[in-house]
Amino acid sequence: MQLDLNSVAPVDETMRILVLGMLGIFIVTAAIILVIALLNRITNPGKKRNRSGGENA
Amino acid sequence: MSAIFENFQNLTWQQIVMWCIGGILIYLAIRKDMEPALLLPIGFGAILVNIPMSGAVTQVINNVKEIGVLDVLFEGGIANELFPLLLFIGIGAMIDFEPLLTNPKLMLFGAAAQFGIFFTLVVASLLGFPLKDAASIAIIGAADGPTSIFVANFLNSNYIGPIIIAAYSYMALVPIVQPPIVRVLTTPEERRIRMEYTGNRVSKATKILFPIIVTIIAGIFAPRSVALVGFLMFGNLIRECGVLGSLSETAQKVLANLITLFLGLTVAAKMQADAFLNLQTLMIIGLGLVAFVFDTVGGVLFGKFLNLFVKKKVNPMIGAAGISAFPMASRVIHKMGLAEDKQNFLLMHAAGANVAGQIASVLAGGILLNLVAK
Repeated sequence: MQLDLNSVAPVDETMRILVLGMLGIFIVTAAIILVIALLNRITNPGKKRNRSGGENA
Repeated sequence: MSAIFENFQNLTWQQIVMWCIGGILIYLAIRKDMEPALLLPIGFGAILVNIPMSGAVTQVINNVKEIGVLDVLFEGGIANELFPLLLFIGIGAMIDFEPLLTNPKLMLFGAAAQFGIFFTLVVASLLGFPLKDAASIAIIGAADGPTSIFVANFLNSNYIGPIIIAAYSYMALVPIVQPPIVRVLTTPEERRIRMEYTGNRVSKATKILFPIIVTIIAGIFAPRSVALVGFLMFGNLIRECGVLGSLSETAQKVLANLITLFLGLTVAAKMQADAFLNLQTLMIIGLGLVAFVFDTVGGVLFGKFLNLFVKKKVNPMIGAAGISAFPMASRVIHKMGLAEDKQNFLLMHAAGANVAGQIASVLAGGILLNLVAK
């Protein structure tokens, strides 16, 4: 649907933007969290060994 | 002789009011130390462009168009989004993402604290602003000047001047705006929750890969944010790569200062009395406050919501640091934690949420553009 940027949007349209906007941010955020966790795991293999050895328990 | 004084006849009371507003901005910058790098040039620029027949802005005199230097700077630096993007290289080079990388879950607080942006879009629309202006006003809630300029300009908003003034003013007012909201939303027990800081080190490889991967992810999900995110992350890559120390220092100091200098003055080109002094400006100032308040509400309530499910409770106050105003918001939360319990050191957690807010606010700008300017 093409929005008219120069007219006042109906409330259901702006509510849709609110919901989709927040959903979009949380989806991208979740993707970034997963990647950081993965990066930490890949690039810090020593930390995992320490944890299994009980040092960080 | 009359030629010397004839310009007095062109002076209007509205222009005098704008001189006063410019004077107030300069006063706040110097005496109250409120975002002086921006508010001082903006304040001076407000006076500069409101001198009758000011040669600093484009005028039509005797049917001849005389181009003003501030309009040249606006076309060359803001209308094409160049200044905010270049400034983002400097900001990226200044930010240390380590507190976030050690605890990536803090990203969620950055996301939650963007609620004010989308809430304000709804309110601004209800108040009668067209969609492009409602979205531009809403982005004040990004608590990030360059993002506000980028979005408002991209949408060709009629209110870019007041939007930028509101954005920078509220960023400076974070220590005044946030604490009462946080106190209302949290109990003293919640404010005293201590959070363990593991102090885990992050590998250099992670620090280098992080800006590259965030750019790719943001670009795929919200392609309109990729210029903002990309320039921010490029600045961070320069900082973290370890072989461009001189460039990193230049980006943090010389580049950021130079762009800030021009940005403030150039923004003032949109502060001419006839465009600035109206009811809409007052409404935008009010809506800016709504955006900041609901950003804070979103962040804090998300912290409380999270506590319903997790074993290790989080201090919900760090949700308020999820707004982008960096590093002010994290310092405010750290101080509030210490005020409740002198041994409660929240700075690293708040800083993590705060840098997450920097990324999330840029993403929010890009997602907003994706949703609105289809």
